[in-house]
Amino acid sequence: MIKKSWCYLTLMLIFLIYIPATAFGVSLNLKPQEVQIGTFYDGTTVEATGTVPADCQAVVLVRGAGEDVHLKKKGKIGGLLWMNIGDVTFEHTPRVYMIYADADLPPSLDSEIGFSALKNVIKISPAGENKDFLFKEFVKLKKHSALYTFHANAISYGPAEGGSRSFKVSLIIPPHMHQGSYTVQAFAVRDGHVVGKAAKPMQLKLTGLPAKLSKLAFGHPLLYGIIAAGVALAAGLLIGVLFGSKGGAH
Amino acid sequence: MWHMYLPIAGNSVNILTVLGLGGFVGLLSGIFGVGGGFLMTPLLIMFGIPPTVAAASDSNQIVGASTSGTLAHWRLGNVDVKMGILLLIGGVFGGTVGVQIIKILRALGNADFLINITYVLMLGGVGAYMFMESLQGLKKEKAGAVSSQEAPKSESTYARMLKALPFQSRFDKSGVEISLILPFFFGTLVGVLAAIMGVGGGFIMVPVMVYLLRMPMHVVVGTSLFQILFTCMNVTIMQSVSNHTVDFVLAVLLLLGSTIGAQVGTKISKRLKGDQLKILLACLVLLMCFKMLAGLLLTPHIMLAYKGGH
Repeated sequence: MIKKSWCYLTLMLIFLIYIPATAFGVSLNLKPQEVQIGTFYDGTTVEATGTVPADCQAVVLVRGAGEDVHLKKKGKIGGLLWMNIGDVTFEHTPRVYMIYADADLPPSLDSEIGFSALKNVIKISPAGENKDFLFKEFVKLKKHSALYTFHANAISYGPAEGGSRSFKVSLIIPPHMHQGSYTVQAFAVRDGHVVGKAAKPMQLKLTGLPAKLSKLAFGHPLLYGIIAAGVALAAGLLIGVLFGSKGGAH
Repeated sequence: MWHMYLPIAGNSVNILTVLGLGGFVGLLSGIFGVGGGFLMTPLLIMFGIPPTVAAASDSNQIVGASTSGTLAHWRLGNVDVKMGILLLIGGVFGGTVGVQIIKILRALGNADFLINITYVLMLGGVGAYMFMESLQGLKKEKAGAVSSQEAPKSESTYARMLKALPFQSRFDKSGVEISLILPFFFGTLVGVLAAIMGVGGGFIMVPVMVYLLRMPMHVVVGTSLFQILFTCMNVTIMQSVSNHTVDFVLAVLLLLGSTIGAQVGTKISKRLKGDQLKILLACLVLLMCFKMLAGLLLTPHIMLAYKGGH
């Protein structure tokens, strides 16, 4: 049963990744499609524009790559102290899940593309845990770090023309969204159900000093560590000498 | 404009906030001779830095702050190099033993409970003792019933025990004559505790030097900074190699603030009396203890937590 749903899910994901930017009467464009993370980067916005059928609403989803998240579960010890009482792993969780809509999602749509949809995708181990409760807490944790967000009233529409209407949304890219590949999907929604979709990839890429430091830290960690300690030592000495020469100490 | 991106932490920070944070913790470091890791790491986590990156980058910045502080205390003649080296050797040995203990505890599944309890008991015990002792000292002084020298009262059992130990040696800067085994032993003990608690151990080392090694407070601060400098250099390199968690940009911003803070702190420390210094440090340690205790007693907002912090 589980294997069957996984096959279905994998096929769906492959399909979603390779669907063209215009499909099922839905189109999507991103500007820029590549976000550059430089020295003074503090997050940015990406403008998503496109079209949906004139009688549909648009919902835009920014989704990060899947990952396994290892967390600590909190519980009471001796009926008094709150502590980490065990490990719990959430498998195949999207690193980022940001939903932009023009209103709150109705339950039918929430179970198709909202946070509730993730409950069927994410596997929690060890098995036998209270899945509903842990999933709720997991979403709370992700929302707290602003990697899972929901923005209502975020989409504006243009006038209907030739059976379709344009939409526009400003996607917030927070500074703690790491470099990597993301998928932006636009959904056409009618009567609380998805009737069409389009997708585009979005890249976040380190450039300049952050790229160089990251390369050094992961490529030559020993050299990086020695430089980091050496620079700190030199800075300490320099400040010490500067302060000392100004008098103060004897 | 006032933000800078941290490539290893994967987040951006306000430059002025981090400079201020570094300055504040550096000030405390210069005054009390503690690395400040037990304060800085939770503050960085509050600003959105992952716990493992916060702890490792903090070690990197402590290298700068403690160098600056050590140099300032060196000029004042407050660094006992011989004592510092013995404590350091003990600390490295104890740290290695502590890491193995943690591995065993994790395998047994009760590491977090023991880490938390050790933290609260150490902070509470050390803070309360220091507070009471220095309060008594201040009261005595106020009553005018003190002689300028801490008069050798009747010799305590502990003092007699110290004298009975082999390898007695004179530590000129500290003005004490004790066995070489003693600083090594206490260094090891602090190293074990620091490894279990995941901190540098400055706030345990300072009371150990004051109460158990009987060193004068001003020499304690300088010697503690000297020892912390080498410990944190080792941690910075080790963390870079094993876990890739040192964020150099964050460390540089913090140390710009902390090196200056440490210099100012040293000057403040010079003006304060030993008991005043001890009572202030005791308050700081007790404050951290209450914060930790509150975290253990109050129902958490979210029942899940990322790994890596306490």
